[in-house]
Amino acid sequence: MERVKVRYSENIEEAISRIEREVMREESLAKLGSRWIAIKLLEGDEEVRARVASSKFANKILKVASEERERLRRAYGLDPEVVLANERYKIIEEIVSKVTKGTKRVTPTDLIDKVILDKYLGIPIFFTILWAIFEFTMEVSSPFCDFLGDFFNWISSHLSGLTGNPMLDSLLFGDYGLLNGLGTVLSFVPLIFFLYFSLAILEDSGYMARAAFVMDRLMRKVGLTGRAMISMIVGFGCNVPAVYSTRAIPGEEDRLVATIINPLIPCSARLTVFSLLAYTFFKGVAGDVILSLYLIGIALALIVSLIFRRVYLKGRTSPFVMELPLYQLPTLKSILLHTWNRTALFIRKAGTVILAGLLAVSVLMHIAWPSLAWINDVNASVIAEMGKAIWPLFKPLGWDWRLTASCIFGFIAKEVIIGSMSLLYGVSEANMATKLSSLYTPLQIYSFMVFTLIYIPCIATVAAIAHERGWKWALFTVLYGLALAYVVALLIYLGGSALGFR
Amino acid sequence: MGFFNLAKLVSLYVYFIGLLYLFYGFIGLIDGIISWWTPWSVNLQAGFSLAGTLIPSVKADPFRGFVLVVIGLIFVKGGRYLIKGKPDSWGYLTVGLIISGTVAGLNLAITLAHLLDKLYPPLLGLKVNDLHNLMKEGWLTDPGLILFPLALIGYLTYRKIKPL
Repeated sequence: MERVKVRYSENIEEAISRIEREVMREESLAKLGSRWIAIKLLEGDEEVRARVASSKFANKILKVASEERERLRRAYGLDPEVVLANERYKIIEEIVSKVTKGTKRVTPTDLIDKVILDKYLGIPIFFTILWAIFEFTMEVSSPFCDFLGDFFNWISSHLSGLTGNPMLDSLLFGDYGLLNGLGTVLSFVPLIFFLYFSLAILEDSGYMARAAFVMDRLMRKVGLTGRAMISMIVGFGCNVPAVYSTRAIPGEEDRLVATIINPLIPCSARLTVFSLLAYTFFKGVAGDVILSLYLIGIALALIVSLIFRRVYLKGRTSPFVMELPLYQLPTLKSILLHTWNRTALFIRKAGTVILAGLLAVSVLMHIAWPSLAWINDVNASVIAEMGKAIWPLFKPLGWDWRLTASCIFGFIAKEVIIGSMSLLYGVSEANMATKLSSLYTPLQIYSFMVFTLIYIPCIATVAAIAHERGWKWALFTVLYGLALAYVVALLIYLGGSALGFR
Repeated sequence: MGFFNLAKLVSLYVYFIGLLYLFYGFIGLIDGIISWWTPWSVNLQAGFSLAGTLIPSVKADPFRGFVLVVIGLIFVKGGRYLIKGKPDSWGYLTVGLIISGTVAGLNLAITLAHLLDKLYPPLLGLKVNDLHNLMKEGWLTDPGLILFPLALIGYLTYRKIKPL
């Protein structure tokens, strides 16, 4: 078979030749293929740059490569990676037209993409799809969540007095007991199931890649690559795999930005908190209120990225080159399989991390401070003292010590917040709405939800960030999250109060 | 009716459906913005009364209104392309129908969910919740549900006269 040498347009060939001449001076590099290395340097390939950087003539080679990249950028008005990819596609089309007969048939994917990727309609369609996901997740899962809430309440009332030991009985089945807290968390399994069900449809249909493509233009303006959108959508499920998914983003700086903004994307664990509170305080528009929190999360992620890019990482965002898959009609079996695998993880987490967190909360609620005696009065417990100690800091947000205390344990896992609330107020999920609405106003709770949305990521996410970017960045993410959460929640509370909202 | 006339009629029909989505979308959007984010509240409606129920009845919800506006824009652009005889119209009609179908399906699913919410308590020996009038919740009379069958008719007629 004849070997075909891909020839680019004159301008690009000129750039390749100039870099190639420098590369050939270094024998070890020339052995790898001087033309290939020149092309990779023009494309800004990091691995090849690192390999070249260790050579004798590194400075000269990289200087010439950088000059040629800049020259091409000016000549084409595009990043050299995109220019080279376009040229290769042109060559592919020429070859295909020579070896195939007839005209290219327009596929349904081509026609649908004209709309989905439309310059003006693409982003509104993306937000429409997000809205549909949250309406579906929130509204349709609600009877199943309510059923489980009532079910755990029923079990709790039937098991009360089972152990014969009042201390153990109170710890396990009492109003401030473990089953109450765990039942509240588990009653949100349907919510998680419906969310993952919707996300699986998006993934399997081929839309996820389009969402990244559509958002690329907007995200580029704030120094993010469109690929970061994929990790952000993964973050709707869980921030841990989302942080790891940033590995697919080319460019060290782009990866770093995508990683540190990811915790601002509300995960399914935070959705359980939002769901409980939104249904209590914003009945009828709960789905919209939750969507507004997601939009705040996305907007803050973009703003943080913009500031970070302007102040710290001033380099250019790497271009977004991606082959879009064909649209597929997702099969029910595959969607259910994806959904179940992820929901099972949530249930496992409830039986391990969340259970341990709630056990700690429950024990601390039964121990008096400073006598350390076993008590049944939550107001005199260690946890109450902890909440009251830091409460003055959160008083400007309109919170009481109970809301403050419930946030402390959210660091273990965000689901622990609702479990803790259930324990702190001594009510199950089924009776939570009545209790909370008698204590707080919608504005106080909205400010609390916004704080929960932004503040410290859970411990597993912090560990994932540390694993990927180091402890320095993990700590930075925790600190900026806390500060940002406080400021935004305060602004919402004060601004809302000034405008007359309650 | 000849092929040409039917095609033209379908094009105008799709365009009109798009305008209806836009109209009801803007009502919901404006009503929602005023009711949600200002101290005032308005109840903009443009439906007819059937046995005391307003059909369609628009929810004051800026997000839902926005979604209807997006569907409207897709159908309007699709209808315009149909009138001009552009092949791209197929994509606009299909995407418009998928999204409008999703919104209509969502309305039905939410109604069913709310019905379930009222019916499950006896399983746990609890009191049956009030089976209130589901029509009053507005999901079954929402323009997102009412307009979908009309859009489907336009799409199916178009596919019949012009298969991909």
